[in-house]
Amino acid sequence: MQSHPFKHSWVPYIFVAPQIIIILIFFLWPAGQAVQQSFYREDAFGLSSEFVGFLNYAEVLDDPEYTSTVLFTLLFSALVTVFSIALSLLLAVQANQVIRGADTYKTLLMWAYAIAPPAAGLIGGLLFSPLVGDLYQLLNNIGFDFNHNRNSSDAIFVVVLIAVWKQLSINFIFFLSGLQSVPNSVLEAARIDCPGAIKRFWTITFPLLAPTTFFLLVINTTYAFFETFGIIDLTTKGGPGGSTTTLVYKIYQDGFLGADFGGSSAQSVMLMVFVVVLTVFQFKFIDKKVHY
Amino acid sequence: MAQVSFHQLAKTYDNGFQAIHGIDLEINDGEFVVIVGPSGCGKSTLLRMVAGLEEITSGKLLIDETFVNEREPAERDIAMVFQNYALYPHMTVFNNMAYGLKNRKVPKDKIASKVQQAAEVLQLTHLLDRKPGQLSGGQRQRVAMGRAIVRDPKLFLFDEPLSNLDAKLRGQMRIEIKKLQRQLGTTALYVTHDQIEAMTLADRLVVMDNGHPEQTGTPEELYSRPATRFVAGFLGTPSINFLDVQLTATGAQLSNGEHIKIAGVSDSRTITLGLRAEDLTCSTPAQADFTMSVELVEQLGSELQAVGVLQGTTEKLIVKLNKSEHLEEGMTLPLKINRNHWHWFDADTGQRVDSLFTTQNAPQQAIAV
Amino acid sequence: MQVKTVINKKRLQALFRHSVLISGALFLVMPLWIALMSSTHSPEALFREGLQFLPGSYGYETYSQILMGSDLLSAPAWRMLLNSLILGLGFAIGKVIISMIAAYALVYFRFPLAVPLFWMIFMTLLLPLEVRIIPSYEVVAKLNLLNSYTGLIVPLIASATGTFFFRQFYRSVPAELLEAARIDGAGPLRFFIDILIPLSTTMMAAIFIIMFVAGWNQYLWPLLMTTDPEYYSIVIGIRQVFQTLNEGGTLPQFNIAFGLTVLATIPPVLVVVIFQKMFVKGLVETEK
Repeated sequence: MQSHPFKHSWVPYIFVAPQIIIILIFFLWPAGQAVQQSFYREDAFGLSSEFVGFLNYAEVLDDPEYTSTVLFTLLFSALVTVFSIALSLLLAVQANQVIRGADTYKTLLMWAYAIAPPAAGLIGGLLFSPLVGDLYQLLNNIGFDFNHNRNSSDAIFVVVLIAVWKQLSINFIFFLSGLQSVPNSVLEAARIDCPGAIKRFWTITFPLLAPTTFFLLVINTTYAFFETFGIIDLTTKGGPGGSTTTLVYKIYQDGFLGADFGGSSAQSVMLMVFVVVLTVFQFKFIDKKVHY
Repeated sequence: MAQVSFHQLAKTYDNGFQAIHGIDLEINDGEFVVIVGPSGCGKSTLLRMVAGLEEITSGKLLIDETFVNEREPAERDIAMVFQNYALYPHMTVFNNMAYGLKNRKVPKDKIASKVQQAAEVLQLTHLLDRKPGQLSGGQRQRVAMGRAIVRDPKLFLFDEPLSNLDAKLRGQMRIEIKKLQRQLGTTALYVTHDQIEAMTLADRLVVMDNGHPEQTGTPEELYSRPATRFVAGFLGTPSINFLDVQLTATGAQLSNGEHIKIAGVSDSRTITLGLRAEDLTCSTPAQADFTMSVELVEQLGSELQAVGVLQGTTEKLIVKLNKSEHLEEGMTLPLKINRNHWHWFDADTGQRVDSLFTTQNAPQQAIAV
Repeated sequence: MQVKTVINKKRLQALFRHSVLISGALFLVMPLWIALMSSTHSPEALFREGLQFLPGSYGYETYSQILMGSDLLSAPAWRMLLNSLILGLGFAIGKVIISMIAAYALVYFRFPLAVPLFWMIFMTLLLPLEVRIIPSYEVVAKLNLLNSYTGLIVPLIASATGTFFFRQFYRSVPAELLEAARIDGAGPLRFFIDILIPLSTTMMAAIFIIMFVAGWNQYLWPLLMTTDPEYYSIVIGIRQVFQTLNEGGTLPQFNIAFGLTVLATIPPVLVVVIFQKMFVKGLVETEK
């Protein structure tokens, strides 16, 4: 524990001030605004607004589109999290054990961290494009009737694939460093106690990676919720028929494109509450079990 | 160089834990005082209170008769050597030593000469441009010493400075620290849990336990006349043997029924007898005070060490014997006590008891200095 | 015999490992490779033959159109690259400085407001900008900061991730260093400047890289914030080209779309690859 030796000084106030001022103006004010607007409704011209209580919330919750958006967001984040974690773990375990070419593999597997989600979306989208996409051709040639612009499940497949592709690198980096921090002596002891390499992995290495896995679970969920906006906006635009609309995408559509500030704010507030609850849940119930 | 006085110095943490329970101590000018005790006894806290790194809850701390409780560490004119050295990793050895002087606005040429001088004393001259990461453990230790001595402080504070070194280096550095302190004549307060370090370095020794000073005195005084059972058990290698005995009119009855004859016993309570390993000798069954079952014989080269129990019990015994003795594991060994060096402690309070016997049998007022 | 099977097993294992890794690497690299190669072919060729795996001869035309301006782009790519650079650098520098000093105040001082301020900062971690995107837009509009670098950069700094990174780092600095510095006569500012900042250089560089990439890649916020092409970042440019692709009529300029995407991707990727070690170290250590 760090001791706090400096007291009664103006220094901490000055130092913490820029951060706090920015938070007040660009975090608390908008968050407060969202809460306030969620209880009001503006007229069509944005000239006046009236207090409507929980009406915005009720309407959002009654809207079957909103329900399907919630369901898609959950499905989407589950798929992205599971596939990107599983694949990156597989790659990290192999990369941790090869000697020849190890550095090359590492570079080739981690560079995609730096690609912008919209860039990934654009490239991925064009690969599946009916106009030029090779993958579109391939899938149709081998007998799938594939078109992500018309078919919901094809669209979901495309956004999940691109989102997983973009997220592999960061998961790989964390798993690899987690694997490298497993003490050699523990692995050597395990080699004496347990002859099977695969069993050894699941009984010794994987449990020791639990804190990393938990951490990745949290950031992958956050990623799927918030950072995939660019991917969706440059591939399916939430379609077809709203089948790939995430909660954030819907807030943007309703609030910015549809100018329904009340409804969009109500969605924002619900999403905020949901994220806070999810975070508390994750830390309370899962975090406890994975730290040593 | 300075005198330091503690007047009922005490520390209570915010959570109510009392780390130091009112300590009085006078450290004379140029004296080397060592505070020793097990981990958690409060010795480091006490040192850090002197440094100004921990707040003093009550009592008075005087350095050269100036009240310094409220002063910042930098204003107390002290220097400290930390357990992990706390060298600034990004600065060269020279800058590590110079940093305190720079902050005191000492002129540049004076800083250079001071650092040079300290580096020569510590044989660091060829390392002045290196960074701590490029130094060995012993060299880092020297730099930490150098940082302390360049400032000519009134008082050196040492917080277990040798505990990160290996045994051999620790022995060497111990001697160097002592020589350096003698040479500079600076008052020093040194904290350690290592009783050998404590015994060899100290002009005076304070043994602490649970935030209390158990006993203060020269190493010889504490070794030969420990004031409490704790002090007796803490100082000395191997640890002193403790036997629970019942006093009777003719002597002391051991737990296995054996009887140590003592004339003029004036009491009849249960009491703890402390016997150091070197104060027991082989004897004949007839003349022995008690018998030991030998479980293990250790060859120490210059002597033998027999490890075992008081025959018929589980009370542990360790005895140091002349290497010419013929010992075997499993044998019974009749032992005789050197009656000039036995220590009696109250079984409940652990305090030393000297008034159990009439004078001729009393342990000699040992070897006072 | 025994020895031989062991060797074979080891070979087989190595073969398996390398094939997994090569597949993974191909999976990650191929899309960008195709984008790069396709950008060197003419739109007609792409429309006729589909995406390309090998370099073509149309690269100069594609990239000179992109960089110098084309009907498809409302601003030439050099302008957008410059805006992205300003966004990335401004975000990274602002974040590093603001979070360093804020974390210093929180870790090394005991002051009355420390606890509520800590929680206020912690809260921002839970709720990314995306959640409160519309009201944030309104606030920035009220402050007259739409279409400005300030409005683009500062609200992004409100999320205090950097403060947490530095807080974690400072807490790992041994307390004795501070104590030694105090005995050496260093006050709060001296200690920060003489000891803590030099010790944090690796950390600062790592966070700088992470934040630069994050800033460069911002999408949703610049999308709302900037309507004036003068302020378009290259990532916003991608969206613009994407929209022209979907318009009917003329032949879609796929080469331009790919070329612009490649240009948007190369700078952050280079930064990450060149500073790989530092970046990985920073990323992994701060998240603990």
